[in-house]
Amino acid sequence: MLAEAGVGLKPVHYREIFESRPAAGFFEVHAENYMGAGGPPHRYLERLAADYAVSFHGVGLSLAGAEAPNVRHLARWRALIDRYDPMLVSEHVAWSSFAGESFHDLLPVPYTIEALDVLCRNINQMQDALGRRILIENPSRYIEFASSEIPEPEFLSEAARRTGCGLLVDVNNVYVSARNLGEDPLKWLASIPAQRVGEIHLAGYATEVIDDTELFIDDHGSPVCADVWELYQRAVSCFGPVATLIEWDTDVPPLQTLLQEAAVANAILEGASDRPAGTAVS
Amino acid sequence: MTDPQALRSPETMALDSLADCQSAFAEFLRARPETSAAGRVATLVAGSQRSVERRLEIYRNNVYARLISSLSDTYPVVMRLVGEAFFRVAALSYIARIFPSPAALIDFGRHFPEFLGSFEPAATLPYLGDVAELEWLYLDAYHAAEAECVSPENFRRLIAEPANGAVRLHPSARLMRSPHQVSRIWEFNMRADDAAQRKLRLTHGGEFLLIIRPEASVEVRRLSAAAYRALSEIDNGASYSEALELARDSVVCTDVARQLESLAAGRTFTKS
Repeated sequence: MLAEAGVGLKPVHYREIFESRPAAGFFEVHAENYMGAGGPPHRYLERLAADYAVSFHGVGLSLAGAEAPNVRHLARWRALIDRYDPMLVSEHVAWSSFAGESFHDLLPVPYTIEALDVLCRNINQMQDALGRRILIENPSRYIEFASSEIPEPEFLSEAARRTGCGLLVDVNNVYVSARNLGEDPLKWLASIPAQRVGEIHLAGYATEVIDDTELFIDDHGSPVCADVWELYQRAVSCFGPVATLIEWDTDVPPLQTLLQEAAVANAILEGASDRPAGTAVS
Repeated sequence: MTDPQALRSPETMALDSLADCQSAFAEFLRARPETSAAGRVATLVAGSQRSVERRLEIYRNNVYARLISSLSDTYPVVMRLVGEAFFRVAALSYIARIFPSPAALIDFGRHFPEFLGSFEPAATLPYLGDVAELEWLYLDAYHAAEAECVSPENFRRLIAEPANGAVRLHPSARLMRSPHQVSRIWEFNMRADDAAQRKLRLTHGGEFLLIIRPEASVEVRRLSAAAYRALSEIDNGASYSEALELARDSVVCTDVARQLESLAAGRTFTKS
């Protein structure tokens, strides 16, 4: 497992990355953007995958959906796994499709016993279809369902324990959700079993004032904020050095900006002591 | 339309299964942003009603913003022709008619050209639907499968063989015809410089087009009616000589064979 920082691979940077071959721990892509048969996305990814570690991040499976995962979507996922053999594979603990419609957003679920059972069923189906272990990511949250009965970190950890999957901790989402819902982000981190954490995501957020309340919105379109860097340092000291992605999906900046953010993450990773004894990730 | 008050009746408050919760959330998302109350999903969320509705609106805004930007990414020329405000109205109307099905966002805009072609407020721009179709075929060709094109020498050798059926169109090839000069309108608006400074002069007559990506970038090529017919026949499974015959029969054209050879030189065909 590489404990280095990587960046998202964006089409506007294909040529520059291919020509300049920058130092990067890995490149991560949204799996759905590579579900076409060919074309420039695959041309560049194939060339880069020969020299860099690649991570596939899913945004469209509706892993926490009440319905079982779409079989055709799983087949397209499998074809990508067979083609690229990625270092990491991840999806969100969120739903996006229901009754034949897809909303293309990462929507929240109530953290109930039923939702946990359904999530585990879906993770098992995804892992079986892909023939490998996946990581599941905590979403950014703006609401809390009245029926939620399990704290989020316990919900995620229990799903990982039951299915054998790993966790992708999005530190920005931990921060954003905690601020929006009045939770304690440090307590959140402390409730996660370090040995399950296979990746960390970092991104920017925006704020919006609604009725005198400041809401924090995960925007993936700005630099990582100072308080999220601070929380990241705490996360690295809890989990040990873990592969970390700089996520930036809208208003994509020059490649250098992404690499500079990755360098900040690398400095924190290098300063960290090794993973706590006895918690090596498989 | 159900009365919003009825949605908050005690019977519907008792939604507790995950499927019920997602069904209520989906119903809220399907309604256009800021046009209706949050409805029954709001009853499932903790917090004061006003705060809950504003927070739910964040999700709905995200959904619509992503769908609309997916359309404007796919149809930049349509956007430029009609302007952002009109595009948004058309996009919302399209979304209401065709809510995307799972799971790849890439496919969501597939029916937008057809929709625009019959979108009443756009009736004064009769070419709009065809410009959109060209933009869709461009994206479709961009993501199409790869294949090695035959060289002009091999092309000549293949068509000289007795079987004469051994050439196929590259898998990215898409054919299109329009009564409008869509490729000229498209090219004019794809240029980055200020279109207001220039004038596009269109002549009468339509176009026959080949949209293809033999290497890394998509090309839009204008064809003669005869070459279009011949390529369409090859696309439908005809052999090269059959296609040539049919094209010669249907259109007055003397040099369709030479046109196909020149297309082969520009990488168009693969070996079957």
